[in-house]
Amino acid sequence: MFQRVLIAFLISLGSGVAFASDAPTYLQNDKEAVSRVYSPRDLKRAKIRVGSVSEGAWGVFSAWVTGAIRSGDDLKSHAELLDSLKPFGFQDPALALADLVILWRSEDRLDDVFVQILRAGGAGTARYLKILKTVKNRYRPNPASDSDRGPNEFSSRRKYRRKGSVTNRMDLYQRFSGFQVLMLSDVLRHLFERMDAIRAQLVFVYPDRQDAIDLSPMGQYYFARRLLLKEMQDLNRSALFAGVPFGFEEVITAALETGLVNGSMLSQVFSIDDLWNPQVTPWQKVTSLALRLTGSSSVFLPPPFNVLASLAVLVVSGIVENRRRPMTQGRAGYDPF
Amino acid sequence: MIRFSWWLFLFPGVSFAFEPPAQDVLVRDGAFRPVIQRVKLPDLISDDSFDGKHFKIVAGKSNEAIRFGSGDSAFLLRAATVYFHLARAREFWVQKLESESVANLEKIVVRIDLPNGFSDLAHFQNDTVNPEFNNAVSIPAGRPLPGLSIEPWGREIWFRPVKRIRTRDLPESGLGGARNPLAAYVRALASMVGESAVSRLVQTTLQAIFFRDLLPAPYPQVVLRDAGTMALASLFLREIWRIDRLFMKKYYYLDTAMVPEIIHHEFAHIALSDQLELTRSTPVIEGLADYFATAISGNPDLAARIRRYSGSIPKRGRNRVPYSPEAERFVYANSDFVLSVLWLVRDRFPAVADRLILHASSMLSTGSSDIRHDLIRALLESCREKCADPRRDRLELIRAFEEKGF
Repeated sequence: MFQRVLIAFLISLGSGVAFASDAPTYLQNDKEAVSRVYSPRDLKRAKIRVGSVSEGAWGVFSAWVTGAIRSGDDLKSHAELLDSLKPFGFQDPALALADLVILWRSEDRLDDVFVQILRAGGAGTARYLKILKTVKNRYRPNPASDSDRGPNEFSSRRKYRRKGSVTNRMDLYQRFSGFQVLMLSDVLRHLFERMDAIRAQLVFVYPDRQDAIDLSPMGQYYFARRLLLKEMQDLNRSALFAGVPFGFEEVITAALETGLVNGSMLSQVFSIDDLWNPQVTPWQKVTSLALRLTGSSSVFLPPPFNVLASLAVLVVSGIVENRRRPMTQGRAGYDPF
Repeated sequence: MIRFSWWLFLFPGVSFAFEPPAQDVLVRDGAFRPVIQRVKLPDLISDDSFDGKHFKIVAGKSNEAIRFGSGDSAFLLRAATVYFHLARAREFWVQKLESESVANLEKIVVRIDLPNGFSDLAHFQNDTVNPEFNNAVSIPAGRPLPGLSIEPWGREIWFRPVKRIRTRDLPESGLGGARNPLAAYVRALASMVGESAVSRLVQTTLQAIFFRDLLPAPYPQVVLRDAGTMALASLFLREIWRIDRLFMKKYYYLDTAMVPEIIHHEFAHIALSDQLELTRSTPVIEGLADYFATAISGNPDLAARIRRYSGSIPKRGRNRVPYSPEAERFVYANSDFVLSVLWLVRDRFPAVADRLILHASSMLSTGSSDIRHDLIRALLESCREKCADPRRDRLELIRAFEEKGF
């Protein structure tokens, strides 16, 4: 069955039946991308990267492009197919294949594949697949045409847990259910919707009248960002997320899985949390420490040098603060009007 | 110059076509330095004057095109430079921005060395009323009051005569001027000195009462020293504005007809005038015209590196000054703040910036558009249509505006 699915998939790719409009583009992109990452000379390293970067279609395509799997191969059974994926470092080759199938939204073939995969894998596999089926590319209507659907550095970044390290993506799938992943992703979706709204108003309702005040475009964004923080805090406190606290990183990982954001948006999305987690460069840390030390030490100077030193510190810190302030939320502070 | 014409083959005999001579004009070289170059002026319809298909360059209130042989060489250089750069600006708008309204513009009369003010009832103000120097202005088309023997006029561009003015005679110059950002720092510092003097006195007194041994000298001596230091600091800050005269240029002058970016700027006003009426000068309108002037040269600076013709401070597209509500005031219409906001867009999306900003300008109006609400909203809305990935790019724009202090 696996063999048939894979071969049918590859044939449909080539003939352009299933993905008539997108096939040439993404095939070309994949080949180029794979040849960039996995050069034949460095196949061993490539195998490691396949395993660490992706557990999905990307890796299967790597196997196909680098020649490990050929469409003409006479694969006797799905076990043999899975064996052929093992050298590529997948933790669970069955999941990789499932990922592939789901990634391309081959919904009509999915049930057959599920049965096979469930036989090959255990309870963990079943859970993974269930979550995957619920969330994967839910907000990405046409994944094949998305030029930036490949693995990204953030999803595969490792974080350290008591029992060793896991990638952000693995952590998400281990700790949260499909429903929870969707809720996390929706936190960011609400922000985007509020940002994209044509206009935002603050309405005061009096017993006899209403007073609507327009927010400025940036005020609309600041307000939406505050609401995002509030939603995150509310969710963290709710019973739905009892025992599984999360932060903005989990929200971003969930949004990546649901296809709400892609790799090219990551740097912009990261900046959203500046409200509660302002980015401070090492240079800024050094300058603020130096200013504090200089300010304190001026007390020990005799007059008139102490006065002059404190004035100098005031001027310098004023300039530094003036430059730093716009990095957080506008020069005038939080002013949505 | 005489050109051999193909007519000669049809009518053997005498057939010559006259071509106007090349003219000296001021252009920017690769390093953005001003150089004089000899070029052929495009689209001229006259052999002996600055009368073209799209522009007619006249002197003062005259309606006759300036003749190539008339006036001194400096005057002709100004006329040729204005004509050349207006033609270049028009080409940019028609070819690159594909502006239909510019392609269909009626011929524009361009007046050089006209000191008269504009009157929307009589075209020119009286010669004796407030002559203007060192600037340029685009004026809307209009009709005179009934009964006046004045012809209706179309959209025009006026370049004022250049005049050297002593800098100290200008209002709001130097540190004493409210528009100088350094003045705000000095004022803030002076107030800090006052507050610091009081807290220092309290601190020393408490020290004298409770920790007398820690005082470096007898109490009266410490107080006297502190007071003396504060008085000197206050005096210094009070008189510091005199020092800036040492660094300021002695004279202010601006020959607008010799600065290519100013010529492009004035044409941008005309090009945008379908949406943004030429009724008054606002920071948004001036900033948009500045932007399209810089878009032609591709350099973010206006009137820079051209000291011979401009004693004015250049406008910088990459000015990092953050937003302040002060920037909305009409007195700051000629600051470079809006230009720097628009260059944030250009630096992030160079491929689509010109069209994005042009599209944004169609959502603005002369009378009511401000920077913080209308310009920013127009840019973000325009990005919905013009950006490659609207959600991602709008987020990037928002981030840029946030860093700019909005």
